[in-house]
Amino acid sequence: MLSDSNAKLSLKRLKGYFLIVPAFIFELLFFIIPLIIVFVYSFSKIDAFGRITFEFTIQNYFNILTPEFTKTILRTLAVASISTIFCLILGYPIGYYIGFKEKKYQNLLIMLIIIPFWLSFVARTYSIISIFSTNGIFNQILTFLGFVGDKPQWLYAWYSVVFGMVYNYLPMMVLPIYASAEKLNPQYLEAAQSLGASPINVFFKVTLPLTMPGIFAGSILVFIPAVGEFLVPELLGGIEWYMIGNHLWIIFLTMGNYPLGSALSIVLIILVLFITILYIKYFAKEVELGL
Amino acid sequence: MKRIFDKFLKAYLVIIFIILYAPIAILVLFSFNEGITMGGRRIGSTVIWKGFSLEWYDKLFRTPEIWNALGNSTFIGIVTSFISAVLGTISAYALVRYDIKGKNLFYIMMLVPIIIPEITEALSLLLFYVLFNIKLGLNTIIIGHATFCIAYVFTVVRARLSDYDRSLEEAALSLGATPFQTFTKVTLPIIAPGILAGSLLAFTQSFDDLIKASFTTGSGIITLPMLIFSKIKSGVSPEINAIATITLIISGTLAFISYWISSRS
Repeated sequence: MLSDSNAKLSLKRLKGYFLIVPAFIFELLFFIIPLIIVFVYSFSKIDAFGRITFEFTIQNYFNILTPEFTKTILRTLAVASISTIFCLILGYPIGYYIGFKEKKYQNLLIMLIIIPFWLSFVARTYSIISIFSTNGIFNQILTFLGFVGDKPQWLYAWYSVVFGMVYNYLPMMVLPIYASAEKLNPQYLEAAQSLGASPINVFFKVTLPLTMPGIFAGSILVFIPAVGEFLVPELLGGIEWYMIGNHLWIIFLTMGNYPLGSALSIVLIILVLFITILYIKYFAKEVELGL
Repeated sequence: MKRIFDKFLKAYLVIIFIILYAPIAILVLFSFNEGITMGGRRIGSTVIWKGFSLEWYDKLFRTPEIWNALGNSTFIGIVTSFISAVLGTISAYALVRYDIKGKNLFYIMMLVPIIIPEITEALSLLLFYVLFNIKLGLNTIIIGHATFCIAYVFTVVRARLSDYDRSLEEAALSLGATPFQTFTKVTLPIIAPGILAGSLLAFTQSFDDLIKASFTTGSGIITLPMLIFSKIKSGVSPEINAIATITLIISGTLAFISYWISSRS
């Protein structure tokens, strides 16, 4: 009797495995194995004619330590960090307001935050070029408001790259903050207030700590795509503001130097995984993507 | 004091929404901008309004290159969302309904493709294809898109499956339905809106993808985002605004349908 039910259980389990095997094999074959191949390529050799031989060398990693690449890596980290901070400062009040203050139009407002995520990333990034070009709408508004003199150049600088990042990734920051602000209990705030805390104290001692999970989740959701970003620095930054993603594009698609590109992408993967693991270990109670 | 603060927040929200949507609105507006003839060619401005005209759309419809790219992107999107729907649904079903060891490992495996930067996935797939001598083309792009689109369907369907009342399935089984009948007659209709919403999201993400397509495409095969990107690199023009507007209409419509499906059920 017991062995019979055990057999039934293991048959049921077998059915379960049978159902996940297709997706598992698909991801193994086209996601995990390719990543292992990158790792192997990062230790391979390339000769002057572009021929790749699989002789173990760590030369590719030494080549990344040159000033050109270390500068790019630091620039990438700086741009991604600044963009995340701007998203947080600009996004927190939005998430807080929609989650905590607004009840009537909550669904509509959150839909308005999500819609851009569905719209073409290329089109959204392209739309910023015309706004900030020398004769663009932004300078036209400045002229209209009475600013005279030379029209400032807004594109191809760190601030146009950061603007593009914030413009594209702000929804990723707002959603988790909204989710944690929605769970805020107004009674906690009232209690603090009736005990004599000033509004500023209530915010820093009660509201902020309670919405911390949203802040961390939002920061990671912005920082990770920003570190690997290609299109925003490509269109709004130019060569001066190239990030790791742009160099990978050139190394692979123009130069065809797979060993060097593999080593650089291993560095990028390690950066991203390091931050993700740090987040999961210290900040996330459960993996909450907020989508 | 509190009132003033709330008003201030409200005004701030309005400003942010204007900043989020104004560039898109301006992009669409200038796709209708009239061009001027210069050196025998029609050129147009994306910043100074000359007058209303449909000439850029007219030009688009007569450019075979654009039809070709649109066709490729649509085909890739449909096949990708189909593969994602099937693999994402059955694996979500298995994970929620069956007692499987190593659940967490599988869960991580489904989510990591969303976390790893797209460009590293794209270049790793390129190396895979090169190493195994696989001919690059539409198929290789579809595979690249499906690796991250499966996760979208998986996440949506998984959430729906864990939400709904399991006793419905048990009732069907105890009334003599086979497990297969129970799945097709009870479970599937309930999770269908989730599958559809997930597939629509998968389609738009595939339809919009530039990076993976650029790395894994074969010679001569170009998708719509690749076409837009290469045109931007050679300078802004209302023609690009017109192509971009068409992609906005397509993905906007799909987003609306998805929202409509999930709000109805």
